[in-house]
Amino acid sequence: MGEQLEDSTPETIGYIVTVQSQYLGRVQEVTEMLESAGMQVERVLGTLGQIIGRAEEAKRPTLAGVEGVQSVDPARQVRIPPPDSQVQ
Amino acid sequence: MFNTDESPSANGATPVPGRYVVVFADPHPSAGDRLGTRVLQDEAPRMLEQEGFSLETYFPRLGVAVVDGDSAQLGELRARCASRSMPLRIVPELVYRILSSPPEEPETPAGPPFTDTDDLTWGLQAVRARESGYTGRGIRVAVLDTGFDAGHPDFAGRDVTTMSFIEGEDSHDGHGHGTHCIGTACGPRPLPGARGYGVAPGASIFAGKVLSNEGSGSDTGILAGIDWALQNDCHIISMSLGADVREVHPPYVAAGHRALERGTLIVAAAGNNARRSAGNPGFVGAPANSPYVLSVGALDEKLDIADFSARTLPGRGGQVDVSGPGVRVHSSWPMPKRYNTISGTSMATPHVAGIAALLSEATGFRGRELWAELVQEAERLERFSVDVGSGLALAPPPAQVPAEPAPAPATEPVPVPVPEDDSPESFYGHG
Repeated sequence: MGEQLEDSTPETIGYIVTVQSQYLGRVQEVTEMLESAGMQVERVLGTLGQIIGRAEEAKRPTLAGVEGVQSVDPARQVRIPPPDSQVQ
Repeated sequence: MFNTDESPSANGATPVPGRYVVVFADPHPSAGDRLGTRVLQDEAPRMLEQEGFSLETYFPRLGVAVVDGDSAQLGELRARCASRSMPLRIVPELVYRILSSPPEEPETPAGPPFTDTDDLTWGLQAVRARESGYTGRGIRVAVLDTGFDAGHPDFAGRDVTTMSFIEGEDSHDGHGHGTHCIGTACGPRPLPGARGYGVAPGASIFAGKVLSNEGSGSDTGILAGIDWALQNDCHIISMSLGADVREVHPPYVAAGHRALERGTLIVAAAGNNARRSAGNPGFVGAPANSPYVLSVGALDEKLDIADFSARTLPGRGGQVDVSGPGVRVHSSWPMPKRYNTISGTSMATPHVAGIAALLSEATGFRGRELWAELVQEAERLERFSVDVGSGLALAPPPAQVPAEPAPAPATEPVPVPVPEDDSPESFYGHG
């Protein structure tokens, strides 16, 4: 009890990283820095300037501190009602 | 008598004898024929001077002059402008007083309550889609939803591009919601032997599947879909989706802003979380509550706010911006069912997206200008703005058909016959 066991597969969260407008031409560079900071990048949206991937929750402040990053936000789910619902 | 372009107004303003307002502008501006700064600053005043008018009250930024003149002199100016295809209007200068009685309402083609007819849905009647004459030709509309039944017979021969952002699923619509929304925004009208239901039947369709056949999706797919629509230079992105959360989600603030900067307008459903009959007005959820994303509420056939349609959320961006038909909406559905009639702010949103396509075609406006035009031209309703925003989004009125082609510009000014002073014909100079 009370002893912290090392977890070999730390739990990760899906994050959306938005780059600053002035870094829109350097999304690839920001992506590489995010990877070095511990983010597993899944998708780079070059036009929009957003990088989608996963990271441990504890790494969020580190990611937010990467040069060119505007915000780091947890990815959310949306859901619409089933097809037979009258209001959609 | 010299005929001006407008008879003295009915609300009691009286013309000043011998004084006229000369307007160098098209009364129905579109991107193609707006007069440039150079014309308004150089050419227009030169014409006035050459016809002997004083430039004392010429406003070059407006292209408007107030002049003393007589019929013959004005007739010559008009002929001269016509020979150069310069749009011109001449109206009497009026003296204004505080309004004592409201001006008469112009006649509207049909009024609420609306009802589906054999050949047109109630929604298309309400937004005056058919009267408009525009079809969204040349405009690219992206609908990010559950995909599309690209084999639907009502869309044979249409320009359709599809893409799936859902792992393990192709772009086919295994739900129905996406095909219904695409039908309302871009489906056919008229539809021989059946009810037309699409606002912008001439638009190019970009169907991005960002919600699974089960109806669920994540920010990842939605943002990827927005990015794809931007890469394809879509003019309008319609998103009938959302989460019932009050917090503004920052990724959509950036996405909406960056889309507008590229000339792309994102419209999103306000949400269906209200139960107004039970005293719960709901709130606008994400992503519609983001600033730079146009939020759409739902109206019923009487143009009353729908029972489920969410109310403005206090705070920046949380408002309902405009409304569209969203109750008992008939539209396309994946085969073999073919059609379905359902309700929701999800159904109001593609109405507005389709109208945006028509407005975009009619005016050439994109992005922020298109947003402003949609909101400005909406029909005001006697309902709370927190519920319906600026009111019912409307299709643009028909283009003015020129009576005859403008004479070709010649090196030497060609004399144009000046109509008799008592001629009843219109003097619009933009033929």
